[in-house]
Amino acid sequence: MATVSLRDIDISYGATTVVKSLNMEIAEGEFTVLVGPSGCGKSTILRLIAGLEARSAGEVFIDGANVSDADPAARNVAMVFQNYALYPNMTVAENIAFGMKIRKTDPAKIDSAVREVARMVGLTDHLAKRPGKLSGGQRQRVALARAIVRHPKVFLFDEPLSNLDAEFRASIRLELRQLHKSLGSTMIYVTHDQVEAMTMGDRIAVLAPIAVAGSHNLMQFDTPDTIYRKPANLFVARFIGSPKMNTFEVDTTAGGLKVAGREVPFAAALPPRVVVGIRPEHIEVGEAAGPSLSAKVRVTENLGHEYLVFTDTALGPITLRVSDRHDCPRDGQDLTLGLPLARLHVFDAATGERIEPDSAR
Amino acid sequence: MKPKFLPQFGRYAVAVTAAVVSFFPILWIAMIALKERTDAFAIPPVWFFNPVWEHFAKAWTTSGFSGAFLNSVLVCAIGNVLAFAIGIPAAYLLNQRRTPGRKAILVWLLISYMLPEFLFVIPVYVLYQAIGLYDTVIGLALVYQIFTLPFTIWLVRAFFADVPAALAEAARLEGATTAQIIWKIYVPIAAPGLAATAILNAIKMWNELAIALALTFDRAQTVTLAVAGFRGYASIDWGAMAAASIIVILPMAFFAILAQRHIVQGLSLGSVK
Repeated sequence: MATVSLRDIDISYGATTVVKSLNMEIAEGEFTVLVGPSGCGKSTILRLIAGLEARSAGEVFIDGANVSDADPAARNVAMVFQNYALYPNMTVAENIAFGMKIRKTDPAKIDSAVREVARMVGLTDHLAKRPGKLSGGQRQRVALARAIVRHPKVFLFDEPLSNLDAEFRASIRLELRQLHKSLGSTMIYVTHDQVEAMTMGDRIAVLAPIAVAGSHNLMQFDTPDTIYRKPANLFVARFIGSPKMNTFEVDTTAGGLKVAGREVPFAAALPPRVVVGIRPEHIEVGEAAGPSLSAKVRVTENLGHEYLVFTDTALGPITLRVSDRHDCPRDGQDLTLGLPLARLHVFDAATGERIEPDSAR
Repeated sequence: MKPKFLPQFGRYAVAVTAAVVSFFPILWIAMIALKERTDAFAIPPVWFFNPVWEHFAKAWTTSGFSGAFLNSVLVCAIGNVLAFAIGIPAAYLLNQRRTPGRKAILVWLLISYMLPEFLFVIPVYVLYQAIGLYDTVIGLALVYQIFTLPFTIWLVRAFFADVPAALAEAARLEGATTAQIIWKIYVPIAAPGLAATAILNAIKMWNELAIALALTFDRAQTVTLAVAGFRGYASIDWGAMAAASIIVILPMAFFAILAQRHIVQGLSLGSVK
């Protein structure tokens, strides 16, 4: 168990900057998810913590010790790779024992440790097999066992579920959470999948590519709840949530916003143009306590427990979720959409930063 | 699907022609080795005869031949040990992006491989005379590194490139040194490819004549020289020479068949994930 601190990290390859001005403080025993689209540097950051990637500037601390220039082996971190990185020439038991053999641990100790973790991850019957004979899920467990057996200070996961099929992914997700609970270790987990991020993370770090974000990658670092309910900026608002948040740019007046020809009071110092966002599940069919606008249904998707309704409005296309307690609107139907004032997110159109009403400050 | 008779026939015709052209000299030598001297040069050729084995016995016991056979085995073995002892670490490092000047070194190796080998003979002859490596097995194995080493490095590098880099990273995180990563992970995984490389090296060293002729006198003579040795001043012992040739061809033919299997295995290594 350990804390991890990243301070003012820059990573670039020649002229290409991958990570810029990154600062993160990860608490002891925390499950942190790094999420973002490809090119946002999430895997690079993980590899930096492992010592497999060189930094251009900044410092890395594990458990308070500066390990910026320490050898990967000296950092006492374990990593689970996307393709598992099992040694194909060794059996499952030899794969798990490799690190201990390298450190010349007593063979009897190795044997008992291997059996112990094999039991933990359910590999006892497969110890004599080679990785080539195992299914994807079993390989995943070997990779996990190889990490656990070392009792590392920090576990690093690099998109470990991306090679598994959907059904299996859900069950391993759960197992990983349980493993985190029982070990209580600090874990850092990289994914591009927002469902994994939302379901697994104690805290989520949403990262954007430098080409998109400009001055720094880290868009927001907070609990899943806060990330979802109070996205710090437009990037996070649009990245987390599926279908993604509806956004439209509007003018402001002295006292509020102009939405669909109606003035909506919003007590805050506002720039001339703002982006208003609302999640699909917060839009109501019919009037609501807030602005409303007329919409025409383009197409609907029936997901069983709910419908996704894609409409065209004067503000552009708007998607909403309708629970199955209501009737599904027909294609071409005219609807009135209510946008509850309390559910609106407001962002500065120029900077993309979230603007909170004065009352919430 | 209709069998495409003509293209199929054409392919077989080419293959059979190639096989006959390349095997006929070997067949002819084998026949000389097995015939009585009187039958060996009869015109028209005698196609059916009672084989005799005396030429083989004579070839093997002729002074120097068995010794030359042992020398050749030693040269191939030592030559391969040297090539792999240097080539394996070199190949690993030349695959690492952070190795400085790797592209230049690789091109340089390729160029040195392309140079005519005989170019090295005269300076090396003078050098070997001076330092006592002339007419020694070690000296030959050393000078053969001129071609075995670049070849080994290039081939092993290709086989190592098929090993996922994450394996080395995983091992580094577990505390393995570069040497441990090479010998415990890369070498076992690339073993079929390394075996194929070793066999190709051995075939090349086994069949080499020109350098061996220049750098040995009698103690370190190799099989190719021993076979040439059956050509005396006044006469040629065709029967024994042919028998010796067959003895020399056999082990390498056997290895070539092995190598073929291993190379296919080695080249398909990358597809096994």
